[in-house]
Amino acid sequence: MQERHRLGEEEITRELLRPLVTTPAMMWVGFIGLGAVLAIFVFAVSWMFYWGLGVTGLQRPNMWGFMIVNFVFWIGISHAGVMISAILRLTQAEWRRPVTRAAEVMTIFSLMTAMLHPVIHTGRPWRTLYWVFPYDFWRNLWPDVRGPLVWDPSAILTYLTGSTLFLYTTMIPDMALARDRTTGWRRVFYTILALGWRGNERQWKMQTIAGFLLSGLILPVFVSVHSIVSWDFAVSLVPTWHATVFAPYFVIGAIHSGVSAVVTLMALMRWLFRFENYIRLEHFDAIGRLLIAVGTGWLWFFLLDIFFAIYPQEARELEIMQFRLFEWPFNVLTALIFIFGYFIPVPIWVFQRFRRNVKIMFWTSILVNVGMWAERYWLIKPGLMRKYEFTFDWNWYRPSIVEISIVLGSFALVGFLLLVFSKIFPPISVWEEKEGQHFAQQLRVGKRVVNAIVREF
Amino acid sequence: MATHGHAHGHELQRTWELAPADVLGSALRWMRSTAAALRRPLVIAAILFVIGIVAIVAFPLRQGFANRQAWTYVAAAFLYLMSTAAAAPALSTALRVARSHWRRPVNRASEIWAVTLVIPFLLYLLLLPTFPGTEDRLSVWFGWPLSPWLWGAILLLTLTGAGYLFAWFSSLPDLAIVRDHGEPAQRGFAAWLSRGWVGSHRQWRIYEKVVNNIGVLYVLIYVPVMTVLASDFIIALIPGYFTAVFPAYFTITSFQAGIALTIVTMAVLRRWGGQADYLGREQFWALGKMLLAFSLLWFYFWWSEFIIFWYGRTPREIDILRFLMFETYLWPFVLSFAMNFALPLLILMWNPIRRSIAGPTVVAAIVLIGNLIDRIRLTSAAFSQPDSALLGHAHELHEVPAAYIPGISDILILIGMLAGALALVLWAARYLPFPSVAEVVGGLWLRAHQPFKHARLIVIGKTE
Amino acid sequence: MPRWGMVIDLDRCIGCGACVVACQAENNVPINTEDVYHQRRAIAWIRLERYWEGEYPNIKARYIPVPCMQCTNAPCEPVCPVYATYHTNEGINMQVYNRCIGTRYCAVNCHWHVRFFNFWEPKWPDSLKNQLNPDVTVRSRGVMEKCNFCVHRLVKAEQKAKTEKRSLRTDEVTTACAQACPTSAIVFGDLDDPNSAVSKLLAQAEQEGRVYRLLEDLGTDPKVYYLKKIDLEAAEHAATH
Repeated sequence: MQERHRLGEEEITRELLRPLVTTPAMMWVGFIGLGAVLAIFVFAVSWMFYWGLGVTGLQRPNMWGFMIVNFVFWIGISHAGVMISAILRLTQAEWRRPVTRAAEVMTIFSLMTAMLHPVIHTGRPWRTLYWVFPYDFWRNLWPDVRGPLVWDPSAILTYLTGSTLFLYTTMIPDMALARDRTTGWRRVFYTILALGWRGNERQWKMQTIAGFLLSGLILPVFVSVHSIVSWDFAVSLVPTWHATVFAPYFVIGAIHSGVSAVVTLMALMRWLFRFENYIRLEHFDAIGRLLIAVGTGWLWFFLLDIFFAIYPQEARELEIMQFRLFEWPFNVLTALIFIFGYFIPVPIWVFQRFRRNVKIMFWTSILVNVGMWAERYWLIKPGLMRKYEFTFDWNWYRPSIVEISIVLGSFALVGFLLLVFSKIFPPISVWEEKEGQHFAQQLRVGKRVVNAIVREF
Repeated sequence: MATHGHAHGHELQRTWELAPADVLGSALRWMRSTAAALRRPLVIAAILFVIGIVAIVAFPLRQGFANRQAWTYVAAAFLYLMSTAAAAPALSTALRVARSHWRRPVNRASEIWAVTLVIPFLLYLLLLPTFPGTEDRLSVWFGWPLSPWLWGAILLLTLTGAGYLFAWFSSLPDLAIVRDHGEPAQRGFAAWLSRGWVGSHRQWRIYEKVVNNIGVLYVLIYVPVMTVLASDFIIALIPGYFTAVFPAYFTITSFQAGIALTIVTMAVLRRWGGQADYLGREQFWALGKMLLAFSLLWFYFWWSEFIIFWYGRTPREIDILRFLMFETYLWPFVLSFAMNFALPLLILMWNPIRRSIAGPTVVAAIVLIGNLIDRIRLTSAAFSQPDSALLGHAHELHEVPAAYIPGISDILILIGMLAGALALVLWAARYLPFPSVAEVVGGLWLRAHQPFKHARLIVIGKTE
Repeated sequence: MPRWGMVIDLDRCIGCGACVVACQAENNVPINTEDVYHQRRAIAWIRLERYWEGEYPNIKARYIPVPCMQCTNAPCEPVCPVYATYHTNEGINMQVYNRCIGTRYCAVNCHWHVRFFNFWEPKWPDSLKNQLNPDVTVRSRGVMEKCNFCVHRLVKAEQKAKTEKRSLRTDEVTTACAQACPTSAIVFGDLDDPNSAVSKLLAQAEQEGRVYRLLEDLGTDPKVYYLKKIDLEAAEHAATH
C-alpha cells in the first residue's frame, strides 16, 4: 500500500526550500565535524606534496596502495547518480523523484574526490595536471593513448561534464523558484543560474527532452567509466589482475556500492531535513528491491572472478588466491566482503517489513559499503604483494597515517560538499516532486481504489 | 518516450479498449482454429525432428563417444536451444518483476518456449559421455568425483523441472478456461493440467504471489547452468583459454537471443495467429529497445575479453585470439559480430525503426541467426581438441586445429533438433490460448484513459 | 645497428655485489640508508637476489643479479600516460626523467621489479658530490629510474667512433656492472654481432642447454640471458632420486 499524502504546491515549495533558509542544529554539527576532518585531509595532502611520497607506506613492489583503492571506491560510488536518475528516468519509474538530485550531486562530488587521487598519488602532481591533458604542451609530445591512465581521465572528465550538465539542466526550474522567493544577493545569484526560466510551454518541453536525451547519452559513459578504471588493472599482467571479467564486475560492484550509498543519503536527508513526506517508506522499499537484484548480480561476478583465478591451477595465481583466502588479513577481508556485501544485507532486504524500516536500510547500506571498500583492497593489493616468482621481492604493505588520513578525509570531503550543496540548492528536486503529484492518480477498479500513474505513450 | 511534445501521432493500441469478453472470445477462437491450422507445420517439424534423431544415431552415435568432434553439431544444437528457447522464460520473469504494464500479451509468447526444455536435456545426457572426467584436466569442478556427469545432469534436470513448472503454473488460469470452454479433444488434457483451478479469491492470491517467485527461481537456476555449460563445453575444452568473463558473455548473449526469439514469436503470432489486437507497436517498441541494449552488451562483453587478451600480448592469449576470432574461425566471428552487434545497432538506433513492427522483428531474426553462428563457432572450436590435448592439466594451445566444416549429417542434426523444439511449441500452442486471458484481462482493469487538456493520457494502476 | 644484450653466467656469479656498487657509482643512484632499506625502497638498478635452498647444514645460497631485462615488447612502455618510457632502435628501454610524472604504472607492470621510484628527494652530502658521474642525470623525487645498460657509455663510444669515422668495434664498450664483475659473470655486448662475447657465450651455452630467460613465457622477449648454474651435487641428487 502506498501512502499518498496529497500536498499542495505551496506546501511542497516551502518544505523543500526550507534547508536553504534554516539550518538545523545537526547541520552545524555536520559542518564543524566534517570540516575538522577535511582540514586534516588538506594537511595530509600538503604534507605529502612537501615531503614526497616517502611519507606513505608505498614501496617496491607495492607501488599502488590506499589512494588507488580509494580512487576505485569513489568512482564506484559515483555510479549511483546515473543509475538512479538516468536509468530510472528512462524506464519511467516514479519512485526516483525524491532521490535523483541527491544521487546526481553525490555522483559529481564523489567523481571530483575520486579524480583527486590519481593526481595526488603521482610523484610530480604539479606536472600531472597538465601533461595528461590532450595537448602537446611540451615539444610535440602528446599523452600516450595506449595507456589506460589516459583513458581514465578522458572517461572520468566526460562523465563529470555529462553529470554536471545533467544536474544543472534539471535544476533550472528550481533555480527560478528560488529566484522568485529570495531577495538581495541571493536573488542575483539564482537569477544568473536560472538562465531566464519562465516556465512556459516551450521551456518545459525542452526540459523534458533534455532530460531524456542526457539520460540516454550518459548511459554509455556510465558503463565505460568504471570499465576503463577496471582496465587500469586488467590490462596489466599482474596475476589476479589480468582477468577478463574485471569490466562488468567493477561496473556492477559500482552500482551495488553506489545505490547503497544513495540509501544512506536518503536516510540522512529524511532525518536531517525532516523530509518524511517526500522520502517515504515506499522509496526505500523500491530501492531495496533494486539492490537485491544488483547485489545478486555482483555476487555472481565476484564468484566468477574467484573461480577463474583458481581454474588455471597456475602457481602464480594460486599463490595469491591462497594468500587472499587463507592468510591474515585477507582471510578476514574475504569473509567481510561476502558477509557485509551480500549475506547480511540481501536476506534482510528480501523482507518487505525490513525494507520499509529506515534504520535497517541505513545500517545495511553502510555495511555494504564497508564490504565494498574491503573488496577493492582485496582486489588490488594481494596481486602487488606477491607478484610473480621473485619471492625475494614479496612484501607487506602497511598504509601510513598520511594515507589513512587521506582516505578518511575523502569521506569528509564528499560529506562536506553535500552539506554545502544542500544549503545553497534544494536537495530534492521541487519541480519533479510537483510533477509526481500531478502524475499520481487513482483508479477505481470495482470496489477498490488503486493508486495509479499517468503516462504519456 | 516523449520526443515531439503533445502531438504524438500514434494511435492508442486497441488492446486496452477491449472488454474482457472480447479477450475471451479471441482466446476461444484461437483454441478452435489452432488444431487444424497448426497440424501441417507440426507434422513437418516432427518429421524433421525424426530425421535429426536418425542422423544422430547414424553418425555420431555409431562412432561412439570417443571422437568428440563428431558430436560438434549435437552440442551446437544443444547450446543454441539453451541460449534461445531456455532464455525466453527469463525475459518473461524480468518483465513480471519490473511490472511493465505492456508485458501482459508478451509473457506467454516467451514462457511457452519452456516446453522445449526436454530436448536440450536429452541432448545433454547424450553429450555427457563425450567428456572425460575432471581429475586429470582443468575444469571448474576441480576434480570433484563424478563430475561433470552427475552434477551437470542434476543441474540440467533442476532447470528443466523449474522451466516446466513455470510454464505450467503461469498458464493455470487459462488451462482452466480451456477445460471449461475448449474443444472436447483438448478438454481432457487441459482438465488434468489445470488441477481444479476455479479462480477463487484464495487461488488468485496464491497465484499472484507465487508466479513471480517461480520465474525468479528459474532465472536463479538458469544463470548458474549457463555458467557451468560455458565452462564445461567451451572453456574447459580449449587448453589455455583462461577467461573469467566468458560465462557472463555466454549468459548475457543468451538473454539477447531470448529477447530476439520472443520478438519473432510475437511477429508470427501477430501475422498468422490473429494477435494483432494484442501484440502491437507498444510491445515491439519496448522489446526493440531491450534488444538494442542487449546488442550493445554483446559488444561490451566481447570487448572486455578481447582487450585484455590483446593488450596482454602473451603468446598463450594471442594463440587463443587467433584460434577463436581472427584466423581459424575468422568468418564465423565476423558474421557473428555483424549480426549480433553491428547490424542491430545500425538498424535499431533509429527511433522510427524501433517504433515499428517490422524493425525489431527483422533485427530479431538477424540476431537469432547470428547467435546460432556464434554458438556453432564456439562449439566447433571447443570440440576439435582431442582428449590428449586436455589431459595433464594442459595450459597451452599447442596445436591449433583446422576449422571444422559441417557435413550433411551435421546440418540434418541441427535442423532436426531445432525443428523438434518448434514442434513441441506448436503442440503446446494447441492447449494454451493466445492471448493469455488471465494476464490481459488482469491488465485491462489497471489501465484507463484520461483526457488532459488537449491530449489523452494513459493512467496505469500500480497495485501493491 | 647494434642490438644490445647481456649474458649473466650464474655458474660464475659469487654474489659479491660488486656489480651493484659499480652501478650505483656510475649512475648516480641515490644513497640507500638503513632506513630506506627497512622501508624496502632501496634503489639498485642491478640488484642481487639471494635465495636460500635446503636446511642447515646442507644449506646453499643462490644468487641472481637482476638488471633491467630491456624487453623487446616491454610491458612497461604502453602503460605510461606521458611517454616517459620508450624503446630505442638499439633495443634499450629508456626512461625519460624529465617527462616522468611518477604514476608508477610502469613499475606495476614490470614483473621483474626492476623499476625504482624516488620516494624521497635524493641527497648527497657535500663530500660525496664530487664523485657524481657528470654524464648521468641526477634525478629528483617523484620520478622513476632504472637500468639503461649504461646508455651514456654507449652514446659516448658511438660518438667517439663517429668522430673517428669508423663503426663501433666488437666489445668496445661495456656496462659498469660487467666491467666490475670479478668473475666475468656479467658480459655485455651486441647480440647481432657474431664475434661479440655475448654471442659466443650464448652459442656455446645453447649447446650445453643452459640458456634461459626470466619469465620467458610472458612473451616480452627480454635481452638478458641467464646461464644455469652447473651444480654437480644437485644433478647427482636428481639422478639418484
